[in-house]
Amino acid sequence: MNPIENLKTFPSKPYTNVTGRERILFVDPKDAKRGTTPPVNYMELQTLASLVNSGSMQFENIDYTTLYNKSVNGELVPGQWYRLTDYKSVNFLNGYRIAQSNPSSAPNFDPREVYQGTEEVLLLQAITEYDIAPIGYSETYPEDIVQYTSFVDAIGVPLGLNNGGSLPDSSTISGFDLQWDGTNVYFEMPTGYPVLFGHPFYLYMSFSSGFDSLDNYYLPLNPTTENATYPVSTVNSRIKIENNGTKIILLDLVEQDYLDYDSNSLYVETVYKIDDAYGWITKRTDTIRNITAPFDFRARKYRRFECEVFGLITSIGYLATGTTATDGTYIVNSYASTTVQGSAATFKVVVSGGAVTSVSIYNPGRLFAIGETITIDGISIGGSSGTDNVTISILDVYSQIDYFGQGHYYNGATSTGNYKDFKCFDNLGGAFNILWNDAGSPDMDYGLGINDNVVIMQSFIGNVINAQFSNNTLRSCNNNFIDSDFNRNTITGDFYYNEIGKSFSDNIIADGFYNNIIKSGFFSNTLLPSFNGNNINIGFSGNVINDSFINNDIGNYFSNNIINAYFQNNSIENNFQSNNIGTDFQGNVILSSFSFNDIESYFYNNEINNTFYNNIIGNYFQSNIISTQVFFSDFVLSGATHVYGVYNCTIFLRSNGTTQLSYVDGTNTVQYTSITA
Amino acid sequence: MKTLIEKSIKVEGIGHPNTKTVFDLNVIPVLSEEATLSERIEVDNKKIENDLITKSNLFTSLVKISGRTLGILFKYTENKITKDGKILVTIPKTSVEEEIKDFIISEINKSLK
Repeated sequence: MNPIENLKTFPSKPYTNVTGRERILFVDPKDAKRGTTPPVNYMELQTLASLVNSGSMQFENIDYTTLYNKSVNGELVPGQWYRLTDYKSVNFLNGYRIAQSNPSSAPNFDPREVYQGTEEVLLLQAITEYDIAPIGYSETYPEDIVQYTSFVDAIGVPLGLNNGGSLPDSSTISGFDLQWDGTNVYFEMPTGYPVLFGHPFYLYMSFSSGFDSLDNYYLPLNPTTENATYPVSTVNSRIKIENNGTKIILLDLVEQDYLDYDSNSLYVETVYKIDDAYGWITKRTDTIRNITAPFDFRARKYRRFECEVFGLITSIGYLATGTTATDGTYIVNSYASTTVQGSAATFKVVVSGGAVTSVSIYNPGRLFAIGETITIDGISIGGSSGTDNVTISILDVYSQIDYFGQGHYYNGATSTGNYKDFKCFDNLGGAFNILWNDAGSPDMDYGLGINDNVVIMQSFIGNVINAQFSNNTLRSCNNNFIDSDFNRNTITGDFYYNEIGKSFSDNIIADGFYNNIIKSGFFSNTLLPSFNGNNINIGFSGNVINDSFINNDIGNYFSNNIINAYFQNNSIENNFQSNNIGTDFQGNVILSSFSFNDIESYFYNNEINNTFYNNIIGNYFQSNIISTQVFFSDFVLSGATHVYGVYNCTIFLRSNGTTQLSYVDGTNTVQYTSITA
Repeated sequence: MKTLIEKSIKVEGIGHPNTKTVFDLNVIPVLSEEATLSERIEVDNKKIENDLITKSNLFTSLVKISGRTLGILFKYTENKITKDGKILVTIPKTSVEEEIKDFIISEINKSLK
């Protein structure tokens, strides 16, 4: 039986090996039940390696140099299985971003140091004369499935080439223009800098004084004749690589194009080789631990330096001598600071009699250091800039020093400090400290910026994803930086101390969600337990939170959410509307507009600074401060009239602890009465 | 009268088709003290958008095109009608991005006269 035919019909047809026992040769990791180890619907895998040993399969043993040459010259035999004997993973020890930016080196920090993993035997099948099949296997790790590209023989960094520019050896580029050999339009790469297969290749040139241009991106460059992937220009051309990457023929240009070519306009973006690669694994699945990642996670290591991981403010002192601020309670999240890394801290400032009477920590933020200072402008508390400023000193922080980030990219870690080299995943399968864009292709994400369908059933910690992160399944997830959207993911554990650059939507979080920073938009998520201590800049809507919602700082628009338990000590800047709160709503500050909400139980110790209307409060309404207009509110238990009146009422707490309502009657006399009058 | 739309400026030959430059950033208006809520939210959104653009892998400094000859695409308005334009320029050699930005705008405005 041909095992490849069997693979195509999986799962309906298990393969019977030579011993007669039934095995399943290939499974889809997405079929695994989450949270179980091993996945319950997996059976023991029978690799092709044992079929080799049993003599039922024929493999051609091959080393990488030979495999590479066969790939680029179109000499692979379609259908033939190859046993690659010397594959090795390579990666930049300090991450691709640092290799690209190439900062100054230090004794233990070479920004372009390449780490080479141990040798591994791969079992690969050719599907064309140039290409390897997207499903391959590892004889070294029999439980793995690999997706391998054979014609990547180098790891490198981007290099732009044009006349007048500089090469890595500091020489100046000249004579880099189109040429015509009587048959083809072509150009030659500078000596020593050939194009590299498996890497992106960008080509630009203009014609007829800029009237036309060729602006093509080839992604990635492969040995066959290539079409432009992004044909956005008026002129496009396939290219053919010859002479070991030194000659580039533009197959669709003719002599007239050569004559119309604008001198010195040729520009190429290629990759400058730093070290050898041995092909590239672009996806790897561990079918036993249920891990799938868009890179070879088995053999890579990354260097981490010691740095601050938390830096939460725990103690402050303050100095405020002004007397012309406006009385009230302020939640301040905008200030000047001497901090190097700190962010997202907020402070509660109370002003009475024009002077600051107390300053407390509202949200501890992260990555602050002892001795740093924060200056709140007096304008923020209704006073004068300068004279009413508040200076806060950070006296203590919750600190934890650990090995995080990559090089000096994270948390200001010094590259001269203590370091360790870490594998991608720990023994339990958790993903730590991966610069996620240092994955997939040898040039990382080619700028496409999407990380999709990654399954990591353990921890996901300290990673940096400079792009979107969607449709993934993780266990606990903390201390990660995701620069763009985080959506349609399932987190089976806690989600904390993460920073999301854009929106967070349509995710399922099975455990605690706390101390995260989300820059824009938290929509349509389902959180089973609590949501505490988070900072969301704009937009929180359509979410379901089944437990408490405490100590969060939301910028604007909190709407259409269901919170089934406590809603306490939160700060919402504007527009709190159409929400359903299950139990207590207390100690919250809403700057403006609280409307159409349904609070089933206690509503007390809240401060709404503007417009409160059309709300349903099922039970007690106590000790709230609503400082301006109150109209059309709906108090279930009382026969109140003033609060329903179409005129301004102020509800406040008197010094004797009793509530009171005030309003101005038709004779301009302030009247004080009961809130339920 | 022809008026350049600065945010429409696209530099050819700068790399990946989705490359962003300083021309793609929003101009952040200065809010008055009487600014409405919607005006403040609009400014907040623009700041976030700029933050995302500058942190993207594809955000490129104009210094990258220093010394090169390439096409500049842009849109302009004339009698309230939006039109497309293109010029070929040789960018001066400099490591100061603002100089390149000002040069490009100046060259475009010259072409519109």
